[in-house]
Amino acid sequence: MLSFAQPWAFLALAAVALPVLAHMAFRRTTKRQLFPSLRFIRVSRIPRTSRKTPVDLLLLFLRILFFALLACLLADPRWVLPNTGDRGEETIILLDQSASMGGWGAWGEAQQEIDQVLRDSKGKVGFLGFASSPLAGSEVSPTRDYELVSKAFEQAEALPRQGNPQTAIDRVYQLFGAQATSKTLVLVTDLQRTNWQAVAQKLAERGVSLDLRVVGHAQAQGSNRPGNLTLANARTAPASPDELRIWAQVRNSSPHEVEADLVLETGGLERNRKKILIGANQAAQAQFVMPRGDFVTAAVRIESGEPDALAIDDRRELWLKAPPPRRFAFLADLPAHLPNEVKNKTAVEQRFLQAALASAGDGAWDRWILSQENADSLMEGGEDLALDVMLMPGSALPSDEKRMGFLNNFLENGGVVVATPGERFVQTVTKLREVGWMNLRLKGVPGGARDRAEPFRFAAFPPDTSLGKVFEGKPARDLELASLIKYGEITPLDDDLEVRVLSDNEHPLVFERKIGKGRLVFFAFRLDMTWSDLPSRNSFLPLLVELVKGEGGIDRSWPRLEVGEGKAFGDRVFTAETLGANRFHDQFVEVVLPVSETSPEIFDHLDALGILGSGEVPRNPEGQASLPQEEGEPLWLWFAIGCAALFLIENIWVSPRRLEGPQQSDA
Amino acid sequence: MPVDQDLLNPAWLAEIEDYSLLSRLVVEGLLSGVHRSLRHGRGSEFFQYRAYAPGEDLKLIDWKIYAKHGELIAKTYQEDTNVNVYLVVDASGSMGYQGERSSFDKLRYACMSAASIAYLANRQGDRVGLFAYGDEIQQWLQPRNGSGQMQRIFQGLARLKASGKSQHRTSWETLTASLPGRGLVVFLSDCLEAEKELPDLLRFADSPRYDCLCLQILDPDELDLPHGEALLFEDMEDGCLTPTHPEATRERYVDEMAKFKQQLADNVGVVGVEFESLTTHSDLGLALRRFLHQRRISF
Repeated sequence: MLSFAQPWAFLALAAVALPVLAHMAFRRTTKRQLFPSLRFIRVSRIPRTSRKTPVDLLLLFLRILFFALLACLLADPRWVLPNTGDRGEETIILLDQSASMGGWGAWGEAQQEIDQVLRDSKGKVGFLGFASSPLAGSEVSPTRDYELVSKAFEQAEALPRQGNPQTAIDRVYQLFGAQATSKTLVLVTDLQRTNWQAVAQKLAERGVSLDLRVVGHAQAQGSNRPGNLTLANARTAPASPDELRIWAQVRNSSPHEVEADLVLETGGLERNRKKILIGANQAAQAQFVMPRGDFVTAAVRIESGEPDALAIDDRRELWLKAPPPRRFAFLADLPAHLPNEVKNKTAVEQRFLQAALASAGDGAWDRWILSQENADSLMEGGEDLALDVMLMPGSALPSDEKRMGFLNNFLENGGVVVATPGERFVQTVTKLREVGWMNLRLKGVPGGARDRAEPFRFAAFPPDTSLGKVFEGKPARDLELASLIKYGEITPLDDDLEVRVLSDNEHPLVFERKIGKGRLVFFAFRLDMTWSDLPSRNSFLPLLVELVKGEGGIDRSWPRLEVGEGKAFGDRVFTAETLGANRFHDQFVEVVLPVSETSPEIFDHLDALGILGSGEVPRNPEGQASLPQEEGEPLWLWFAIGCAALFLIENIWVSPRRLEGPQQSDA
Repeated sequence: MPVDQDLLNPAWLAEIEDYSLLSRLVVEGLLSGVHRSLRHGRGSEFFQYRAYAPGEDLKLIDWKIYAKHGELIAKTYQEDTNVNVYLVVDASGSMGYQGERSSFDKLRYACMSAASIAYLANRQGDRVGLFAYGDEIQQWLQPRNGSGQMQRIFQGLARLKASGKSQHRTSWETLTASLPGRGLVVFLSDCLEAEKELPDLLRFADSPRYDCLCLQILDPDELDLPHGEALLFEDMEDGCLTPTHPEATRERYVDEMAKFKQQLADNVGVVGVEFESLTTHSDLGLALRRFLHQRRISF
């Protein structure tokens, strides 16, 4: 539908009178003059004189059309979608359907507000619901059929999602008709703080009046809404080889102490119940221990004698299944020309590491399993193979570029490679440099000829590191007693190399480098008894596991997503829609309510008006609201071309020219 | 040479319908007080004896007198001046133009000039003929002398009407095919758009037996365009239309017209044609004097 952003420019249509008057008032009067020869007579423009009646009607029409097009051009013509309505007052109800609207009585108040809007409205009314994004299914374009709006609200409900008004308001601009004389946005929301912090709109500037209807604030005290108990967290962890521990945390947003029951359900039945006392605006936690293997899911919920302001956050489902095991494998591309003694040493080291890692964890909840087949397939170009750690004793790097490429891909995609040096340390350093993994300078291998009675020692870890937290107390003393018989004294030349373990003389012993999403861990000593007795120590396995996990560690629990979030598993993407324990192919996912929706904090009414840019909306004298500049498809270019074409035709038409043949009529 | 200008004023002469009277008035007005213009020299009729002047042609000496008296006496004869004068009048449509500043159109001026020349030539004993054409031949009178011929010429001139597109080539080709053995051709025309065509058509004037005097007759409007407001010019011969405001194009027109006249004079001069451009304001004496001058130097 054709629309105009600057309708006042149609005042220029008065210019249409100019050619009419010109044609009415003047006529070109040229007396016919017989002349012997026109050879040297040049054509010239003939001025108009004398008052006459309209002549040259086609030329007059052409000129009127020219001025009309010019006026349209000045009015900034635009093409807008026809479903944007016609003239009149338009109101769009924008309803917050985020999770928090389900509590504090907000939904009932919203019902009353919307009913009132429909009663008071004289023009067209539209409807749009939103949570994290505009809910297209609820959309009703401005209409005089209020029943449609009522039905849209009846079908709406508070969704377990976070709210985001920004994109919804953007959509509202498009719903208003281009010819609406006034545009009013009725925004029904509870002003949950976290949803409104990132909003920035300029409603008044875009010609939209704001009618902000805040709901669910009846019990508000300042910037808080009390009365909500929230099951803030719930996790499963192994308690013993046969038992699981279910841990839950409850938060109280009330200004007074609340006593509540924490109930554990499995198989749809209550299995356990614990009474907890939660202080004012504080949190409390409780644990349940239950046998493994009986159930795969459990639910934890809160029961309280007092009414809870938001019920949807009182219950959580969680998986009782053990998380997936860590998979490791070996890469031992040792050159064939190496002496058997060297090969044997590497084989021994490999067997030791395999045994060590296989025994790590508890064999159930925390498991390490050898997946050599996956590793072999991966090195042949296989994709999406489950493998966490590639162990590379003796730095047996692949000799051909293709396999090296697959190994690099493994690292780039988040894999971990653990390498130890070969017997000829200098060759290992050269290899690492050649493949671009680590740039090291080898000073020597201290201790190679020293008496084993005076071994080197491991330095203590800084307390603020992940290793420092693991190795404190008894484990730390065990590590400090470990002997280091010989090692490669290495200086890192790359800035992005991190030293994870130091010797007591502050020589680096374990390096780590991030490559893509993965990590390369390089030991400056071999993991066998001829280099160090560390592998035989109790502290070895924790050290190895921590080094493999990296700084920050790897969360071995099942993925936990908030509603609306997505997560890729291989080439498949899981989108969290339903609260509770979800299964997605071979993955077990816990979907929880966005924490922000359970927060008691609310946004201030005046602050909300500010960030929405509400204010006085100017109306033009004709009562037609100005269109925003960017609304509709601009058509000025076409009108400009039309004007130019008409101007050209008019010029050609009136330009003086020699007439061929006798003319009977006066021009 | 005193001339009564009033008698030669075309504005005054325009009132006279009768070409016989008009031409007599013009010629008498031009020649009043002038002796009979006769050339003395070699001819067929004896005129007188006179003393021989050294340097003169020895053939002039009358050797019989020298033998009798021993004096060098030159014998002179009255020259034979009877020539054929052909008056060729362009009566095409463009010759019918009469501007606001003129009392008559160009064809009328051409006819007055032609009548005067015919009268003068007849008075001198020449044979006079008339050839007039527009898009076709309108009058064709073979050269003769006598008062009867004059009357025929005057009547022929009176019957001329400006019409049609001038057909110079076909008309001239017809005329030159029947020209008498010797003569003077007086061509009266506006010569418009013919500066390239005419030299070829008048090439006969290059011959020693013929002379040609081309009198171009233009209206003053043709020299500087009519004055006043915008005009829709219509070509008098082909009907083409051109709207223009004379004031806007006058300067360029005058310049181009002057160049045209000069080019026309140059082109016809190459083939031995004497050229004179006249306007309908010019007194008729100018044309007659030009005729007399041409006749004198030619024969």
